[in-house]
Amino acid sequence: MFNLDKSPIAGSGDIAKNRLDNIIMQDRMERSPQVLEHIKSEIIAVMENYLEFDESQIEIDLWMPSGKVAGEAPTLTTSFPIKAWKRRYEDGQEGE
Amino acid sequence: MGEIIVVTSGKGGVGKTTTTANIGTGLAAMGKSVVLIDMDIGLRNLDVILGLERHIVYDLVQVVEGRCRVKQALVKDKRHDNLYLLPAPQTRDKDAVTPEQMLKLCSSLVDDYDYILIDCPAGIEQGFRNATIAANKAIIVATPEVNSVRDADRVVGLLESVNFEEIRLVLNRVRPDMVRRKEMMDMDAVTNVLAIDVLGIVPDDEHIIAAGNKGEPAVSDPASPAGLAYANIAQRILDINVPMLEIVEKKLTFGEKLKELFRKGR
Repeated sequence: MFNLDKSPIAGSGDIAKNRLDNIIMQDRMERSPQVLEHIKSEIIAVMENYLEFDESQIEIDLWMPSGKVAGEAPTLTTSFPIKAWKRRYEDGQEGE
Repeated sequence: MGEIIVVTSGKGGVGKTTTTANIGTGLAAMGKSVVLIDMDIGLRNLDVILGLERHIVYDLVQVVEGRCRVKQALVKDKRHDNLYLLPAPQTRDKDAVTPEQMLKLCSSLVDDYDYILIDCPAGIEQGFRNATIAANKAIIVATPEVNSVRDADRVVGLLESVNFEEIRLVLNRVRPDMVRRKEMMDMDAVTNVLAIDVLGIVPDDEHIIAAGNKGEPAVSDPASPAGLAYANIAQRILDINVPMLEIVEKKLTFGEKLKELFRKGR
């Protein structure tokens, strides 16, 4: 109780900051939904070099934490079912 | 050729009108000629903050409708000969003016005055478009609260999309004691999100209420901390380098730490 050097527990100012960061991220995403689509198409372009997959199965989502738990960050998740692994980079050789 | 600056926020009640009145008065006190345009049609307030409500003859809508000349409608300030108010009508709607009319109005003023400050209504609809159309610089007013900063971010996005030349922040009603106790966001938390330059930090101050009561902007009151902050802001608009008001965490003495601890315990 008399450990005066210990910083106080997170006040509502810190909660405000976390919530604000998350809300702003979500707002900006909603205002420009095409950004997620751009991310998706660029990921697909990279993945196509290595993998075969069905584009219609790909999901991309932004998960938002409540802001009230320390250390939880907004997270972009992609679900990417793979049909086949291309052979072109086997044994470190640039294929075809 | 003067500058046209819009004072805006998105959210209502964060101090746009007070900021417009104080910055305008501050600029006039430094010898600049200033016109303040109240764009809050139907809910005018700038006249009251300036103490000019009994001097209004014509208003903005009558000017754009050609029923009077703009110089007839300008109300001269009581204390500064080079400060004028173009009042909003009390009885019309926000769509009584078109963006084209605002462009024409502002271009008729910009050659004759150093600064045209436009007090924008809350919201991002027609009134916002009218208030921002003629300006290329903006002052965003926000308080350190989640909803205010969120709305400010929305407005910054809208202004950036129409290529505003300069967008700067006035963080209003800051409570240093609350920031110190970590019960209020500090400047960094707000600027990290908004990513715009800071024009000034204005502390929460009872003098602002008293100034509104009297119709004399606090910037003229040397005893008002907020007034001082506004005077500094006016100087920064003139590119005079003034250090930011210090709103930093105060180093606590042992006694204060004890007091703090017991306050928390209750």
